[in-house]
Amino acid sequence: MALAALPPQPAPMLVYADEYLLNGSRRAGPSGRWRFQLRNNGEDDHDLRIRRPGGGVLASTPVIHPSAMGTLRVRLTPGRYTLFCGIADHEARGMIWQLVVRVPKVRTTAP
Amino acid sequence: MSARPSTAARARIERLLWRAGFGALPGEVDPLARGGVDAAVRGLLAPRGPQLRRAPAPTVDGVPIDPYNTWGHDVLWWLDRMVRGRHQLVERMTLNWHDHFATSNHKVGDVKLMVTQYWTIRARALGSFRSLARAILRDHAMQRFLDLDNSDKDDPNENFARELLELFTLGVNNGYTERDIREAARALTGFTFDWDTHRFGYDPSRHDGGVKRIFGRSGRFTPGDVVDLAISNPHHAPYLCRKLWGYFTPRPCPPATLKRMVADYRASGTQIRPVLRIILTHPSLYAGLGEPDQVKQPVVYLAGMLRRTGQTVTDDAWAWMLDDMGQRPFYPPNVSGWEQNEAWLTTASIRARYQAASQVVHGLRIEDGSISRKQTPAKAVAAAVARTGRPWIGPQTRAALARFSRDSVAGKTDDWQVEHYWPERMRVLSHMLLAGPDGQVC
Repeated sequence: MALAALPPQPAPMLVYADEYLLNGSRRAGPSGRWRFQLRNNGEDDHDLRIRRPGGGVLASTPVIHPSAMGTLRVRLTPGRYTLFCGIADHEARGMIWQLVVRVPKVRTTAP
Repeated sequence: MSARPSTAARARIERLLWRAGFGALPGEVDPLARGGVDAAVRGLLAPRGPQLRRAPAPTVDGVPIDPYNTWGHDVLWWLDRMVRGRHQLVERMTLNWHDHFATSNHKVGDVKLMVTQYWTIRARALGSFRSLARAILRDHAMQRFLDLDNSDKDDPNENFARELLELFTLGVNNGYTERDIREAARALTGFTFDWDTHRFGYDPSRHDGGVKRIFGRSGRFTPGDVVDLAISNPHHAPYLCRKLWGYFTPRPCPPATLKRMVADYRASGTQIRPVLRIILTHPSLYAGLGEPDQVKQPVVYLAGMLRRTGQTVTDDAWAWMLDDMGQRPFYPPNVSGWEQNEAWLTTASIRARYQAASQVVHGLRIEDGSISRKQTPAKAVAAAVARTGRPWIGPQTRAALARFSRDSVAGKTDDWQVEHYWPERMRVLSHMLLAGPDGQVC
Protein backbone atom coordinates (compact mmCIF):
# COMPACT_ATOMS: atom_id res chain seq x y z
CA MET A 1 0.00 0.00 0.00
CA ALA A 2 1.38 3.39 -0.93
CA LEU A 3 1.57 5.78 1.95
CA ALA A 4 0.16 9.25 1.47
CA ALA A 5 2.99 11.77 1.45
CA LEU A 6 3.01 14.02 4.50
CA PRO A 7 3.11 17.75 3.77
CA PRO A 8 6.64 19.16 4.22
CA GLN A 9 7.12 20.18 7.82
CA PRO A 10 8.57 23.56 8.83
CA ALA A 11 12.07 23.41 10.27
CA PRO A 12 11.51 23.56 14.04
CA MET A 13 13.74 25.41 16.44
CA LEU A 14 13.45 25.82 20.18
CA VAL A 15 14.89 28.93 21.81
CA TYR A 16 15.26 29.42 25.54
CA ALA A 17 15.43 32.91 27.01
CA ASP A 18 16.94 33.72 30.38
CA GLU A 19 18.69 36.73 31.91
CA TYR A 20 20.63 37.47 29.71
CA LEU A 21 21.13 34.55 27.43
CA LEU A 22 19.38 33.28 24.34
CA ASN A 23 20.00 29.61 23.67
CA GLY A 24 18.87 28.12 20.36
CA SER A 25 18.56 24.43 19.57
CA ARG A 26 20.33 24.77 16.23
CA ARG A 27 22.90 26.91 14.50
CA ALA A 28 21.94 26.18 10.89
CA GLY A 29 19.16 24.80 8.77
CA PRO A 30 17.50 24.78 5.34
CA SER A 31 15.76 27.65 3.63
CA GLY A 32 11.98 27.50 3.60
CA ARG A 33 9.37 27.49 6.33
CA TRP A 34 10.50 27.70 9.96
CA ARG A 35 8.75 27.44 13.27
CA PHE A 36 10.42 29.06 16.28
CA GLN A 37 9.26 28.34 19.81
CA LEU A 38 10.50 30.72 22.48
CA ARG A 39 10.38 29.49 26.04
CA ASN A 40 10.97 32.14 28.68
CA ASN A 41 12.90 30.48 31.50
CA GLY A 42 13.76 33.80 33.09
CA GLU A 43 12.21 36.10 35.64
CA ASP A 44 11.79 39.07 33.28
CA ASP A 45 9.71 39.52 30.13
CA HIS A 46 11.44 38.65 26.86
CA ASP A 47 10.60 38.35 23.18
CA LEU A 48 12.13 36.86 20.07
CA ARG A 49 12.94 38.92 17.03
CA ILE A 50 14.61 37.87 13.81
CA ARG A 51 16.93 40.28 12.01
CA ARG A 52 17.37 39.80 8.25
CA PRO A 53 20.86 39.25 6.81
CA GLY A 54 20.80 42.78 5.41
CA GLY A 55 19.35 44.33 8.53
CA GLY A 56 15.79 45.10 9.59
CA VAL A 57 13.50 42.98 11.68
CA LEU A 58 11.74 40.24 9.73
CA ALA A 59 9.41 39.01 12.47
CA SER A 60 8.79 39.23 16.18
CA THR A 61 6.83 37.47 18.88
CA PRO A 62 4.76 39.47 21.31
CA VAL A 63 6.22 39.93 24.77
CA ILE A 64 6.56 36.51 26.41
CA HIS A 65 6.13 36.51 30.15
CA PRO A 66 8.17 34.31 32.52
CA SER A 67 7.39 30.58 32.20
CA ALA A 68 5.34 31.24 29.06
CA MET A 69 5.99 30.31 25.48
CA GLY A 70 5.54 32.01 22.11
CA THR A 71 5.64 30.72 18.56
CA LEU A 72 6.85 32.44 15.42
CA ARG A 73 6.32 31.09 11.90
CA VAL A 74 8.38 32.61 9.10
CA ARG A 75 9.86 31.75 5.72
CA LEU A 76 13.62 32.16 5.59
CA THR A 77 15.82 32.48 2.50
CA PRO A 78 19.53 31.63 2.61
CA GLY A 79 21.65 33.95 4.71
CA ARG A 80 22.83 34.68 8.23
CA TYR A 81 20.03 35.71 10.58
CA THR A 82 20.30 37.16 14.04
CA LEU A 83 17.81 36.12 16.70
CA PHE A 84 17.61 38.49 19.61
CA CYS A 85 15.48 39.81 22.42
CA GLY A 86 14.22 43.26 21.53
CA ILE A 87 13.25 44.34 25.02
CA ALA A 88 15.23 47.17 26.61
CA ASP A 89 18.98 46.48 26.42
CA HIS A 90 18.65 42.69 26.46
CA GLU A 91 20.35 42.26 23.07
CA ALA A 92 23.36 44.28 24.19
CA ARG A 93 23.51 42.22 27.38
CA GLY A 94 23.95 39.02 25.42
CA MET A 95 20.50 37.80 24.35
CA ILE A 96 21.54 37.04 20.80
CA TRP A 97 21.81 33.92 18.63
CA GLN A 98 23.14 33.48 15.10
CA LEU A 99 21.37 31.22 12.63
CA VAL A 100 22.68 30.32 9.21
CA VAL A 101 20.10 29.34 6.61
CA ARG A 102 21.32 27.42 3.59
CA VAL A 103 19.89 26.07 0.37
CA PRO A 104 18.57 22.64 1.33
CA LYS A 105 20.59 19.65 0.26
CA VAL A 106 18.89 17.65 -2.48
CA ARG A 107 18.49 14.04 -1.48
CA THR A 108 18.97 11.46 -4.16
CA THR A 109 17.65 7.97 -3.87
CA ALA A 110 19.60 5.00 -5.06
CA PRO A 111 17.85 3.22 -7.95
CA MET B 1 2.87 -26.19 27.30
CA SER B 2 4.22 -24.98 30.65
CA ALA B 3 1.89 -24.96 33.64
CA ARG B 4 0.44 -21.62 34.66
CA PRO B 5 2.34 -20.29 37.67
CA SER B 6 0.58 -19.76 40.96
CA THR B 7 -1.31 -16.55 41.68
CA ALA B 8 1.20 -15.66 44.39
CA ALA B 9 4.16 -16.19 42.08
CA ARG B 10 2.53 -13.99 39.45
CA ALA B 11 1.75 -11.31 42.03
CA ARG B 12 5.39 -11.20 43.15
CA ILE B 13 6.61 -10.68 39.60
CA GLU B 14 3.91 -8.06 38.97
CA ARG B 15 5.11 -6.21 42.05
CA LEU B 16 8.74 -6.50 41.01
CA LEU B 17 8.12 -5.23 37.48
CA TRP B 18 6.16 -2.22 38.70
CA ARG B 19 8.69 -1.23 41.33
CA ALA B 20 11.87 -2.00 39.39
CA GLY B 21 10.53 -0.93 36.01
CA PHE B 22 7.42 0.41 34.35
CA GLY B 23 5.09 -2.55 34.62
CA ALA B 24 4.89 -5.78 32.69
CA LEU B 25 4.32 -6.16 28.99
CA PRO B 26 1.49 -8.45 27.88
CA GLY B 27 2.65 -12.03 28.34
CA GLU B 28 5.75 -11.11 30.32
CA VAL B 29 4.67 -12.16 33.80
CA ASP B 30 4.06 -15.90 33.47
CA PRO B 31 7.51 -16.93 32.17
CA LEU B 32 9.21 -14.85 34.84
CA ALA B 33 6.89 -16.17 37.54
CA ARG B 34 7.85 -19.72 36.60
CA GLY B 35 11.53 -18.83 37.12
CA GLY B 36 10.93 -17.05 40.44
CA VAL B 37 11.93 -13.69 41.87
CA ASP B 38 15.65 -14.41 42.27
CA ALA B 39 16.06 -15.27 38.61
CA ALA B 40 13.97 -12.26 37.55
CA VAL B 41 16.12 -9.96 39.69
CA ARG B 42 19.29 -11.44 38.18
CA GLY B 43 17.90 -10.63 34.75
CA LEU B 44 17.04 -7.07 35.74
CA LEU B 45 20.49 -6.49 37.20
CA ALA B 46 22.35 -7.82 34.15
CA PRO B 47 20.27 -6.96 31.07
CA ARG B 48 21.47 -8.01 27.67
CA GLY B 49 20.64 -7.21 24.07
CA PRO B 50 19.24 -4.05 22.48
CA GLN B 51 18.08 -1.27 24.77
CA LEU B 52 14.73 -0.91 23.02
CA ARG B 53 12.27 -3.53 21.90
CA ARG B 54 10.95 -3.65 18.39
CA ALA B 55 7.95 -1.38 18.42
CA PRO B 56 7.10 1.78 16.52
CA ALA B 57 9.34 4.76 17.36
CA PRO B 58 7.53 7.77 18.83
CA THR B 59 5.62 10.08 16.51
CA VAL B 60 3.27 13.03 16.75
CA ASP B 61 0.69 13.39 13.98
CA GLY B 62 2.60 10.69 12.11
CA VAL B 63 5.88 12.62 12.15
CA PRO B 64 8.90 11.40 14.19
CA ILE B 65 9.39 13.40 17.36
CA ASP B 66 12.15 16.01 17.49
CA PRO B 67 13.29 16.26 21.14
CA TYR B 68 15.89 18.97 20.62
CA ASN B 69 13.90 21.36 18.48
CA THR B 70 10.27 21.04 19.60
CA TRP B 71 8.88 21.96 22.99
CA GLY B 72 7.60 18.94 24.90
CA HIS B 73 9.24 16.33 22.70
CA ASP B 74 12.07 15.87 25.19
CA VAL B 75 9.49 14.47 27.60
CA LEU B 76 8.06 12.20 24.90
CA TRP B 77 11.55 11.00 24.06
CA TRP B 78 12.16 9.87 27.63
CA LEU B 79 8.66 8.45 28.02
CA ASP B 80 9.28 6.36 24.92
CA ARG B 81 12.45 4.92 26.44
CA MET B 82 10.44 3.84 29.46
CA VAL B 83 7.74 2.31 27.28
CA ARG B 84 9.97 0.52 24.77
CA GLY B 85 12.96 -0.03 27.05
CA ARG B 86 14.04 -3.65 27.47
CA HIS B 87 16.47 -2.90 30.31
CA GLN B 88 13.74 -1.90 32.69
CA LEU B 89 15.74 -1.59 35.90
CA VAL B 90 18.34 0.54 34.12
CA GLU B 91 15.62 2.87 32.87
CA ARG B 92 13.93 2.98 36.26
CA MET B 93 17.17 3.70 38.07
CA THR B 94 17.96 6.42 35.53
CA LEU B 95 14.67 8.02 36.55
CA ASN B 96 15.50 7.50 40.25
CA TRP B 97 18.92 9.11 39.81
CA HIS B 98 17.30 11.96 37.91
CA ASP B 99 15.20 12.48 41.04
CA HIS B 100 18.28 12.15 43.27
CA PHE B 101 20.51 14.45 41.19
CA ALA B 102 17.50 16.57 40.27
CA THR B 103 18.30 18.97 37.42
CA SER B 104 15.60 21.00 35.68
CA ASN B 105 15.58 22.25 32.14
CA HIS B 106 13.52 25.16 33.42
CA LYS B 107 16.84 26.61 34.46
CA VAL B 108 19.27 24.75 32.19
CA GLY B 109 17.40 25.79 29.04
CA ASP B 110 19.13 23.31 26.76
CA VAL B 111 17.58 19.96 25.87
CA LYS B 112 20.87 18.67 24.46
CA LEU B 113 22.52 19.14 27.85
CA MET B 114 19.61 17.40 29.56
CA VAL B 115 19.68 14.45 27.19
CA THR B 116 23.45 14.20 27.63
CA GLN B 117 22.85 14.03 31.37
CA TYR B 118 20.32 11.26 30.81
CA TRP B 119 23.00 9.21 29.00
CA THR B 120 25.61 10.05 31.65
CA ILE B 121 23.32 8.72 34.36
CA ARG B 122 22.04 5.75 32.37
CA ALA B 123 25.55 4.48 31.64
CA ARG B 124 26.25 4.34 35.40
CA ALA B 125 22.76 3.64 36.71
CA LEU B 126 23.61 0.25 38.24
CA GLY B 127 27.38 0.63 38.56
CA SER B 128 29.70 2.61 40.79
CA PHE B 129 28.16 5.52 42.70
CA ARG B 130 31.59 7.14 42.91
CA SER B 131 31.83 7.11 39.12
CA LEU B 132 28.28 8.44 38.84
CA ALA B 133 28.86 11.28 41.30
CA ARG B 134 32.13 12.25 39.61
CA ALA B 135 30.37 12.28 36.24
CA ILE B 136 27.59 14.45 37.65
CA LEU B 137 30.19 16.90 38.91
CA ARG B 138 31.39 17.37 35.34
CA ASP B 139 27.94 17.25 33.78
CA HIS B 140 27.21 20.55 32.05
CA ALA B 141 23.48 20.53 32.79
CA MET B 142 24.23 20.13 36.50
CA GLN B 143 27.00 22.72 36.36
CA ARG B 144 24.57 25.24 34.94
CA PHE B 145 21.70 24.20 37.23
CA LEU B 146 23.70 24.62 40.43
CA ASP B 147 25.84 27.51 39.24
CA LEU B 148 29.09 25.60 39.22
CA ASP B 149 29.86 26.76 35.69
CA ASN B 150 31.23 30.13 36.72
CA SER B 151 32.26 29.61 40.30
CA ASP B 152 35.46 31.54 40.72
CA LYS B 153 38.09 31.49 43.46
CA ASP B 154 37.28 35.15 44.15
CA ASP B 155 33.59 34.43 44.61
CA PRO B 156 32.93 30.71 45.17
CA ASN B 157 29.31 29.73 44.62
CA GLU B 158 28.11 27.35 47.35
CA ASN B 159 25.08 25.87 45.59
CA PHE B 160 26.67 22.68 44.26
CA ALA B 161 28.78 22.15 47.38
CA ARG B 162 25.69 22.45 49.57
CA GLU B 163 23.56 20.06 47.54
CA LEU B 164 26.41 17.62 47.09
CA LEU B 165 26.57 17.18 50.86
CA GLU B 166 22.96 17.85 51.78
CA LEU B 167 21.17 15.88 49.06
CA PHE B 168 23.54 13.87 46.88
CA THR B 169 25.80 12.14 49.39
CA LEU B 170 25.14 12.72 53.11
CA GLY B 171 21.66 14.04 53.90
CA VAL B 172 20.50 17.21 55.63
CA ASN B 173 22.69 18.13 58.63
CA ASN B 174 24.26 14.71 58.55
CA GLY B 175 28.00 14.68 59.09
CA TYR B 176 29.05 18.08 57.78
CA THR B 177 29.15 21.70 58.90
CA GLU B 178 28.58 25.05 57.23
CA ARG B 179 32.32 25.44 57.16
CA ASP B 180 32.66 22.17 55.25
CA ILE B 181 30.28 23.58 52.64
CA ARG B 182 32.24 26.81 52.31
CA GLU B 183 35.54 24.97 52.06
CA ALA B 184 34.11 22.49 49.56
CA ALA B 185 32.83 25.40 47.46
CA ARG B 186 36.38 26.77 47.33
CA ALA B 187 37.67 23.40 46.16
CA LEU B 188 34.97 23.21 43.50
CA THR B 189 35.97 26.48 41.78
CA GLY B 190 37.43 26.65 38.28
CA PHE B 191 34.65 25.40 36.00
CA THR B 192 33.68 27.90 33.33
CA PHE B 193 31.03 28.75 30.79
CA ASP B 194 31.72 31.24 28.02
CA TRP B 195 28.52 33.16 27.28
CA ASP B 196 29.76 34.24 23.85
CA THR B 197 30.83 30.83 22.56
CA HIS B 198 28.46 28.81 24.79
CA ARG B 199 31.35 26.51 25.71
CA PHE B 200 31.96 24.87 29.07
CA GLY B 201 35.48 24.38 30.38
CA TYR B 202 37.83 24.37 33.34
CA ASP B 203 40.30 27.16 33.98
CA PRO B 204 42.97 26.28 36.58
CA SER B 205 43.68 29.99 37.07
CA ARG B 206 40.12 30.41 38.42
CA HIS B 207 40.45 27.47 40.80
CA ASP B 208 41.28 28.13 44.41
CA GLY B 209 44.51 26.19 44.85
CA GLY B 210 44.91 27.00 48.53
CA VAL B 211 44.64 24.63 51.47
CA LYS B 212 41.06 23.76 52.49
CA ARG B 213 39.79 21.92 55.53
CA ILE B 214 36.90 19.53 54.86
CA PHE B 215 35.58 16.96 57.37
CA GLY B 216 38.61 17.66 59.53
CA ARG B 217 41.11 16.90 56.77
CA SER B 218 43.33 19.51 55.19
CA GLY B 219 44.74 19.63 51.69
CA ARG B 220 44.82 21.46 48.37
CA PHE B 221 41.63 19.72 47.36
CA THR B 222 40.36 19.72 43.76
CA PRO B 223 36.73 19.29 42.61
CA GLY B 224 37.14 15.52 42.26
CA ASP B 225 38.59 15.33 45.77
CA VAL B 226 35.42 16.89 47.20
CA VAL B 227 33.28 14.13 45.72
CA ASP B 228 35.67 11.49 47.04
CA LEU B 229 35.72 13.05 50.50
CA ALA B 230 31.92 13.14 50.64
CA ILE B 231 31.65 9.51 49.57
CA SER B 232 34.28 8.50 52.12
CA ASN B 233 32.34 10.21 54.91
CA PRO B 234 30.95 7.52 57.26
CA HIS B 235 27.46 9.02 56.99
CA HIS B 236 27.34 8.56 53.21
CA ALA B 237 26.68 4.84 52.81
CA PRO B 238 23.74 4.61 55.27
CA TYR B 239 22.17 7.72 53.76
CA LEU B 240 22.42 6.49 50.19
CA CYS B 241 21.30 2.93 50.95
CA ARG B 242 18.28 4.16 52.88
CA LYS B 243 17.39 6.50 50.04
CA LEU B 244 17.66 3.71 47.48
CA TRP B 245 15.44 1.53 49.64
CA GLY B 246 12.83 4.29 49.68
CA TYR B 247 12.58 4.29 45.90
CA PHE B 248 11.31 0.71 45.94
CA THR B 249 9.15 0.43 49.04
CA PRO B 250 7.44 2.85 51.42
CA ARG B 251 7.97 0.37 54.28
CA PRO B 252 10.73 1.22 56.76
CA CYS B 253 14.07 -0.44 56.14
CA PRO B 254 14.85 -3.01 58.86
CA PRO B 255 18.08 -2.01 60.66
CA ALA B 256 19.75 -5.37 59.94
CA THR B 257 19.00 -4.98 56.23
CA LEU B 258 20.40 -1.47 56.19
CA LYS B 259 23.54 -2.76 57.87
CA ARG B 260 23.90 -5.47 55.23
CA MET B 261 23.36 -3.00 52.37
CA VAL B 262 25.94 -0.61 53.81
CA ALA B 263 28.46 -3.42 54.27
CA ASP B 264 28.01 -4.68 50.70
CA TYR B 265 28.08 -1.14 49.30
CA ARG B 266 31.35 -0.38 51.03
CA ALA B 267 32.95 -3.76 50.36
CA SER B 268 32.16 -3.47 46.66
CA GLY B 269 33.67 0.00 46.35
CA THR B 270 30.35 1.92 46.12
CA GLN B 271 28.72 -0.46 43.64
CA ILE B 272 24.97 0.01 43.35
CA ARG B 273 24.08 -3.47 42.06
CA PRO B 274 24.68 -5.34 45.34
CA VAL B 275 22.44 -2.89 47.17
CA LEU B 276 19.71 -3.24 44.59
CA ARG B 277 19.96 -7.03 44.78
CA ILE B 278 19.29 -6.92 48.52
CA ILE B 279 16.34 -4.56 48.09
CA LEU B 280 14.74 -6.36 45.16
CA THR B 281 14.91 -9.78 46.81
CA HIS B 282 13.87 -8.57 50.26
CA PRO B 283 10.58 -9.93 51.68
CA SER B 284 9.45 -6.36 52.46
CA LEU B 285 9.21 -5.66 48.76
CA TYR B 286 6.68 -8.47 48.40
CA ALA B 287 4.71 -7.80 51.57
CA GLY B 288 1.03 -6.94 51.30
CA LEU B 289 0.57 -8.19 47.76
CA GLY B 290 -3.18 -7.99 48.33
CA GLU B 291 -2.91 -4.42 49.55
CA PRO B 292 -0.37 -2.52 47.41
CA ASP B 293 1.09 0.41 49.32
CA GLN B 294 3.21 2.33 46.85
CA VAL B 295 1.59 5.07 44.76
CA LYS B 296 2.78 4.88 41.17
CA GLN B 297 4.76 7.92 40.08
CA PRO B 298 2.89 9.66 37.24
CA VAL B 299 5.43 8.71 34.61
CA VAL B 300 5.48 5.12 35.87
CA TYR B 301 1.69 5.10 35.83
CA LEU B 302 1.55 6.39 32.27
CA ALA B 303 4.39 4.32 30.83
CA GLY B 304 2.89 1.29 32.56
CA MET B 305 -0.53 1.83 31.01
CA LEU B 306 1.00 2.18 27.57
CA ARG B 307 3.14 -0.92 28.03
CA ARG B 308 0.31 -3.06 29.38
CA THR B 309 -2.06 -2.09 26.60
CA GLY B 310 0.53 -2.57 23.87
CA GLN B 311 0.62 1.11 22.90
CA THR B 312 3.51 3.41 22.08
CA VAL B 313 4.04 7.18 22.11
CA THR B 314 2.01 8.78 19.32
CA ASP B 315 0.65 11.92 20.93
CA ASP B 316 2.24 15.06 22.34
CA ALA B 317 -0.61 15.39 24.84
CA TRP B 318 1.39 13.13 27.16
CA ALA B 319 3.85 15.94 27.85
CA TRP B 320 1.27 18.31 29.33
CA MET B 321 -0.70 15.48 30.92
CA LEU B 322 2.42 14.46 32.83
CA ASP B 323 2.78 18.08 33.87
CA ASP B 324 -0.80 18.05 35.15
CA MET B 325 -0.17 14.78 36.97
CA GLY B 326 2.79 16.45 38.71
CA GLN B 327 5.81 14.86 37.08
CA ARG B 328 7.44 16.09 33.94
CA PRO B 329 10.75 14.27 33.38
CA PHE B 330 13.64 16.71 32.85
CA TYR B 331 11.69 19.26 34.92
CA PRO B 332 11.77 18.27 38.62
CA PRO B 333 10.25 20.96 40.84
CA ASN B 334 13.52 21.73 42.66
CA VAL B 335 16.88 20.22 43.53
CA SER B 336 15.23 17.93 46.10
CA GLY B 337 13.40 16.13 43.32
CA TRP B 338 9.82 14.98 43.55
CA GLU B 339 7.99 14.10 46.73
CA GLN B 340 6.97 10.46 46.54
CA ASN B 341 4.06 8.19 47.40
CA GLU B 342 0.95 9.93 48.85
CA ALA B 343 2.29 13.31 47.70
CA TRP B 344 1.47 12.28 44.15
CA LEU B 345 -2.24 12.18 44.88
CA THR B 346 -4.09 15.49 44.95
CA THR B 347 -7.54 16.37 43.65
CA ALA B 348 -5.91 18.00 40.63
CA SER B 349 -3.47 15.20 39.88
CA ILE B 350 -6.15 12.52 40.25
CA ARG B 351 -8.23 14.33 37.67
CA ALA B 352 -5.22 14.39 35.36
CA ARG B 353 -4.68 10.67 35.91
CA TYR B 354 -8.31 10.03 34.95
CA GLN B 355 -7.77 12.06 31.81
CA ALA B 356 -4.60 10.15 30.95
CA ALA B 357 -6.35 6.81 31.45
CA SER B 358 -9.15 8.04 29.22
CA GLN B 359 -6.62 8.78 26.49
CA VAL B 360 -5.14 5.29 26.87
CA VAL B 361 -8.61 3.73 26.59
CA HIS B 362 -9.15 5.81 23.46
CA GLY B 363 -6.04 4.13 22.07
CA LEU B 364 -7.62 0.72 22.64
CA ARG B 365 -10.05 1.57 19.82
CA ILE B 366 -13.13 -0.10 21.24
CA GLU B 367 -15.52 0.91 18.49
CA ASP B 368 -19.30 0.93 18.55
CA GLY B 369 -20.71 -2.26 17.07
CA SER B 370 -17.57 -4.24 17.90
CA ILE B 371 -19.02 -6.34 20.75
CA SER B 372 -21.61 -9.10 20.53
CA ARG B 373 -24.78 -9.05 22.58
CA LYS B 374 -23.81 -12.52 23.77
CA GLN B 375 -21.10 -11.07 26.00
CA THR B 376 -22.15 -11.72 29.60
CA PRO B 377 -21.36 -9.27 32.41
CA ALA B 378 -18.71 -11.63 33.76
CA LYS B 379 -17.11 -12.03 30.35
CA ALA B 380 -17.14 -8.27 29.87
CA VAL B 381 -15.15 -7.78 33.07
CA ALA B 382 -12.75 -10.56 32.08
CA ALA B 383 -12.29 -9.03 28.63
CA ALA B 384 -11.65 -5.56 30.09
CA VAL B 385 -9.10 -7.03 32.49
CA ALA B 386 -7.35 -8.70 29.55
CA ARG B 387 -7.43 -5.55 27.40
CA THR B 388 -5.82 -3.49 30.15
CA GLY B 389 -3.01 -5.95 30.78
CA ARG B 390 -4.48 -7.76 33.78
CA PRO B 391 -3.97 -5.03 36.40
CA TRP B 392 -4.23 -5.84 40.07
CA ILE B 393 -7.74 -5.31 41.47
CA GLY B 394 -8.95 -5.85 45.00
CA PRO B 395 -12.17 -7.65 45.94
CA GLN B 396 -14.16 -4.43 46.46
CA THR B 397 -13.27 -3.12 43.03
CA ARG B 398 -13.97 -6.48 41.45
CA ALA B 399 -17.44 -6.50 43.01
CA ALA B 400 -18.13 -2.93 41.91
CA LEU B 401 -17.05 -3.69 38.36
CA ALA B 402 -19.27 -6.79 38.29
CA ARG B 403 -22.26 -4.71 39.43
CA PHE B 404 -21.59 -2.05 36.84
CA SER B 405 -21.12 -4.64 34.14
CA ARG B 406 -24.53 -6.08 34.91
CA ASP B 407 -26.47 -2.86 35.53
CA SER B 408 -25.04 -0.72 32.74
CA VAL B 409 -26.61 -2.78 29.98
CA ALA B 410 -29.68 -4.07 31.81
CA GLY B 411 -32.76 -3.63 29.63
CA LYS B 412 -30.78 -2.29 26.69
CA THR B 413 -31.63 -4.94 24.12
CA ASP B 414 -32.49 -2.99 20.96
CA ASP B 415 -29.92 -3.40 18.20
CA TRP B 416 -28.78 0.23 18.37
CA GLN B 417 -28.41 -0.04 22.14
CA VAL B 418 -26.31 -3.18 21.89
CA GLU B 419 -24.21 -1.52 19.21
CA HIS B 420 -23.39 1.42 21.51
CA TYR B 421 -23.83 0.37 25.13
CA TRP B 422 -21.96 -2.93 24.95
CA PRO B 423 -18.73 -1.26 23.74
CA GLU B 424 -19.39 1.65 26.09
CA ARG B 425 -19.48 -0.81 28.96
CA MET B 426 -16.10 -2.12 27.82
CA ARG B 427 -14.69 1.39 27.57
CA VAL B 428 -15.89 2.31 31.06
CA LEU B 429 -14.69 -0.97 32.59
CA SER B 430 -11.28 -0.48 30.99
CA HIS B 431 -11.13 3.08 32.20
CA MET B 432 -12.06 2.13 35.75
CA LEU B 433 -9.45 -0.60 35.78
CA LEU B 434 -6.76 1.86 34.75
CA ALA B 435 -7.94 5.00 36.53
CA GLY B 436 -9.68 3.61 39.62
CA PRO B 437 -8.04 3.56 43.04
CA ASP B 438 -6.51 0.12 42.50
CA GLY B 439 -4.80 1.30 39.33
CA GLN B 440 -2.88 4.01 41.20
CA VAL B 441 -0.91 1.69 43.44
CA CYS B 442 1.53 -1.18 43.01
